[in-house]
Amino acid sequence: MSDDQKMGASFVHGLLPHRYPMLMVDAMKEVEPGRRGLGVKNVTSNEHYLQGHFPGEPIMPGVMAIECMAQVAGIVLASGASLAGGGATAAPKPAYLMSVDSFKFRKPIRPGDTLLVDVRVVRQFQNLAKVAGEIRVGDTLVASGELSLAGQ
Amino acid sequence: MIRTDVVNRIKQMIVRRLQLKIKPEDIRAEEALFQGGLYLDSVEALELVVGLEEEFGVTVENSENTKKRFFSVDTLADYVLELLGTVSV
Repeated sequence: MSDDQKMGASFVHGLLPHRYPMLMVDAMKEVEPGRRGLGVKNVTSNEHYLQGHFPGEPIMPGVMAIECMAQVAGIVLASGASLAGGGATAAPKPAYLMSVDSFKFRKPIRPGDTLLVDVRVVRQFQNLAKVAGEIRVGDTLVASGELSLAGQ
Repeated sequence: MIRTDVVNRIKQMIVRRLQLKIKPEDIRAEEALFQGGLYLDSVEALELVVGLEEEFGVTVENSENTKKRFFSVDTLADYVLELLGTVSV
C-alpha cells in the first residue's frame, strides 16, 4: 500500500534519532500528528537482546516492549512538531522517557511476532507529554501501559 | 460550586492520581505543591493537569501564570473556579 511505503524506514529515520541496535520501529501504519499513531515492529531471531534473553527460549524483554512504545510515541510527538525533534527537515532530537506507569505484559513476545503499537497522546503540557499505549500481535493484546516523555 | 468542595476535590485528586501515601486532609491548602512543600516534580505536574481536566471538565491553559496557578491547592482552586466562571466564595 502506498501509505505504508510513505511511512517506512526513511520516514521513521526522519523523526527518530535512534539507530541500530536500538531502533525498534520498522514502519508507521497510521499517524495523526501529535495525537495518535500505529507503529509496526517485526521481532526477529536476530534481535541482539534475544541472544541472552533467554538461551533456548527467546522472549522479548518487557523493557524492550516499553522502549518500542516510547519510540512510537516519539514519532507521534515529533510529527506534531510541538515536542521533540524539528520535523523531517532538521536532525531528529530524542524525546526523553520520564515515567512508566500501569504497565502490564499479558503474553510473551517471541521471534516472528509483528507488534502493532498503538499510541494515543493523553495530554501535552509545556515540554511534557503523557501517552497511553497498547501493543497487539494480531488481535491479541500483549502489553499496555502509560508513559510520560519530555521534549527539549 | 463552593470553594471548599473544589479544594477538597483537588486534594483527593492529587492523592489518588499521584498515589501519595498521605491522606487528602494532610495536604494544607496553602502549602507549596512543588519546591518547599510537597516537592512534586514536573511529571506529577502533568498528572495534575490531566487530573484537573478530568475532575472539573475544564481545559488548563499553558501561560506565564502557570507557575503561580500551580503553586498550591488554594491557587489551583482559584484557577478552577475562574475556569468554571464561578465567583470565589
